[in-house]
Amino acid sequence: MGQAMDLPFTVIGGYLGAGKTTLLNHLLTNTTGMRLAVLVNDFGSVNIDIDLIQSHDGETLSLANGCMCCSLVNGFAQAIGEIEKRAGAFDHLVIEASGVALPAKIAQYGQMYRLPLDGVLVMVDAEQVRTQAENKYVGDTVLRQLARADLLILNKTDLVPPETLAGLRAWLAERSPGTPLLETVRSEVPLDVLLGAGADRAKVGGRAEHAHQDRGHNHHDHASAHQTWTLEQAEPLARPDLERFAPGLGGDIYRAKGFVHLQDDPDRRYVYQQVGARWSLEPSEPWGEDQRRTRLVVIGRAGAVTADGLAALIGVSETK
Amino acid sequence: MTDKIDRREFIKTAVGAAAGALVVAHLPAGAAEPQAEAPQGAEKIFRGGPIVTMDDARREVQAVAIVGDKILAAGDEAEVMKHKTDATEIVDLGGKTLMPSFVDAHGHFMNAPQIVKWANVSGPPVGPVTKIADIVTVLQDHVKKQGIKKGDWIIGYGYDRSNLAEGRELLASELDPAFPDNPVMLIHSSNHGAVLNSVAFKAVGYDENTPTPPGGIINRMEGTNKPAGFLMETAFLPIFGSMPQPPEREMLDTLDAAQQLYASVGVTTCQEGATHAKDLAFLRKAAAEGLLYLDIVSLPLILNVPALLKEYAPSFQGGPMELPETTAQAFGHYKDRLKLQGLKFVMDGSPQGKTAFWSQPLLTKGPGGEENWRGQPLFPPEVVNKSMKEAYAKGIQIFSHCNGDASIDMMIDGARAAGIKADEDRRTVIIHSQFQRPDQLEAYVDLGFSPSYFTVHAFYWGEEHVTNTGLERASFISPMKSAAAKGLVCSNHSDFSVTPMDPMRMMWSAVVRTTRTGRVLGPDERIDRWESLKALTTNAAWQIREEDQKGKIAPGMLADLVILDANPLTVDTDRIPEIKAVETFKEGKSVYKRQPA
Repeated sequence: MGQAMDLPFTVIGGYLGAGKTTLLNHLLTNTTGMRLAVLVNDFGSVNIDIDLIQSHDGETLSLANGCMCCSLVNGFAQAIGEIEKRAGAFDHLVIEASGVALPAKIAQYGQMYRLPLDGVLVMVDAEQVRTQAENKYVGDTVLRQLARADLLILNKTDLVPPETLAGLRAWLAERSPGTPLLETVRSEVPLDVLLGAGADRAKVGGRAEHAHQDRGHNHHDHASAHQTWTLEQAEPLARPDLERFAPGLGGDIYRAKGFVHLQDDPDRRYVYQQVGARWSLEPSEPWGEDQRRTRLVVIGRAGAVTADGLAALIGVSETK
Repeated sequence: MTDKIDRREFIKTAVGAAAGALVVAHLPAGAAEPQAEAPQGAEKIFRGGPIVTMDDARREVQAVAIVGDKILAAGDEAEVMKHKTDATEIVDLGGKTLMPSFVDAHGHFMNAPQIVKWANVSGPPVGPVTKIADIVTVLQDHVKKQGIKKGDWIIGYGYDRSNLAEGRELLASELDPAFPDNPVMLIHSSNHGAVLNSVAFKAVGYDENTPTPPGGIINRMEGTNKPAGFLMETAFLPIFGSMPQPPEREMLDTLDAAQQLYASVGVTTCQEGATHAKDLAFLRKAAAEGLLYLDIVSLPLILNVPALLKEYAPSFQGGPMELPETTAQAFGHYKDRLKLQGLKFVMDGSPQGKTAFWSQPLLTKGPGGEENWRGQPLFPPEVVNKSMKEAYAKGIQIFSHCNGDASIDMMIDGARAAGIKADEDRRTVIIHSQFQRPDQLEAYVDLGFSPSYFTVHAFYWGEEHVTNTGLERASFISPMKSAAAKGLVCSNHSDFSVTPMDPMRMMWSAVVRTTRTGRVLGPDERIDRWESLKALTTNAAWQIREEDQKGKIAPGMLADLVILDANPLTVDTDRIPEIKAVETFKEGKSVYKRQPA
């Protein structure tokens, strides 16, 4: 205790039936090479191909793809202890909040172990959420879950008619003002949207050997409804510009991440990180011999903004 | 019992006696005494003081005869003396009071092995601390008594600024001179914080560079960033979570002292009321080694059922929250003094921590500063209903922790959905039932729910309840009088170690319901002394289905007895909490004898 671990974590919350378990199963069987540690409430619901399971030791399941799943049955402290034992073995920690937990509160638990918080994602059952919000036992909990989310994932959108969906969007915007809303079916959310995985991941994680020059481009994935923009600039940025940038992104941008070349501290990298409205700018390693350059990857709803619009927000000259 | 050897001897006899009891049918409570023609010889006959039977049919008798583990006769002295033989020991009570020993209606036995290794730095009436200097003295005594070595942790419990004359938090620097070589941690009475000394800060890696985590508190020395001593919430919880755990042998060795916490106040049936899988493994080991001389009733946590099944029913193939057909066989009988009685559900938190689940908002903000806060359930109703249905279907008794009225509503809904009726005699125990609403009493009657109340709350936290919920709601906490009037069987508990194991204070609180400031909280819910003692004896035994063995003095009942230095039925009300146990018997054998001061 006392040593901070450099392992970013994401909390995934939402009421029963919102699709958390399906999402976690997707995460654990991901094939991107991203090594995830996933803390779940109930082992029983984790459904993983037996061939993928390398070992099963008490409340811990180790997978051949480098991921691990740990049950929270013996408490948060013990699960974190398991992760600490294998410090360095994971790229990202995902914590499942129980259906009636306040995910924002779970985020505090992670932070008390001095883990950097990536974001609080709350899954929403498109069919059931409005009924759940009126339940006399859990209604106020469901509303609190929505209100404190950094990013809402509206799941099962295929099960409701378009007019219901439109009404639901408006309803959610009222309950969680300004929170980006990502729509999906069968909990199929791309890893880069969910956890910021992707080309920039290794660099943001700070491992210089992977810090190659990525060909940032305006990537539009037609299969999903999201889009990636990369902003690059060699000229240092002023802090006030960044402070304007974050809230200016709006409800259609899910996350942004990358290094910043900062005017008032030009000798070292700053890590910029944003999920929904939550953002942070933390000092990191000195630039050293590397080229000093701001490079931010922004992910949002396809077509929500134009590259130039984003660039104008921050005053970046080279948008791709 | 005065020493360990005696106790081990006794354990052998007791185990033998218990095994015998399975073969020889015992007499039910209230049955006629044995034939006068050939009276059976008594081992001991108690006489010479008030004997309170807790039997409504005959509240007091003149003498009691016991043989083996049971009560042989109770009644007029002349009748009982017919059982005297040359070998009979006559115990002259000398004016002291004999009554059935107490049944712990709800508490956490597994906290006892821990607590006996910790120093009590609480304020009165729980502990002796009224100023900072007292803390140092208590800790120094503790180090001597426990033989704590250099470098070992010194842990205290019950620390609370409100008990200190100085009216401020204790500083690390005030512990450092006396404890320069040991890490010290004094746990706050809420269990959500602690004071550490400098060695402890070093051990856990906290210094001036440690940031305060969100949702946490680290008091700093004025003008510096150095931790001052006191930590709370998220700054404390990870430290506590990673404290070194004593080895199992060391824990097993504390079991005598742990049981003495109960025996010394006249309790001979203890409850482990939220048993994790690892706790059950420990208790089974303790039982198998013959280390238990009091009865332990364990309620495995429903959440731990999958882990328990993995260990005890490895071939079971059911899904989550399903139970094997044979589950009931594991419950309801003692083996080496350990019994599983039912499954423990936990529906909400505590009212003083504002984590109970109420139907109406509090008058004050939530624990995180929330407006309109009424707490939250720990499980969604869908999960509660399914689990209850499964437990009822497999014939397992349910014990459910519910403090707020909304969590009680969830239990009521669950039982109704499962189609439960009072005449099925399920004895679903709603532990705490503190903020029960008047209309819920009728549902308890219909569904056969039985409340285990927590009346000492009126004393310890009554004023906070008035502030948070208003006088009307606070006045109805643990409504024992209204519940008894509806015919509900009510027990009373301490929730040890949330409050001390102290049956006389529990009894007193049910009778007077006064807060720390002397306010009577809910005068209409005060009950008479007889009813308040029943809640600690025969009613508590009924809830664990042992009313035909425990909680009354009558022929055929177990000789689980306590001698008190005053009669709780007649002593001045104010003196009830001062009554002390003089000697405690478990199945006829002495398990505690008060040493002359």
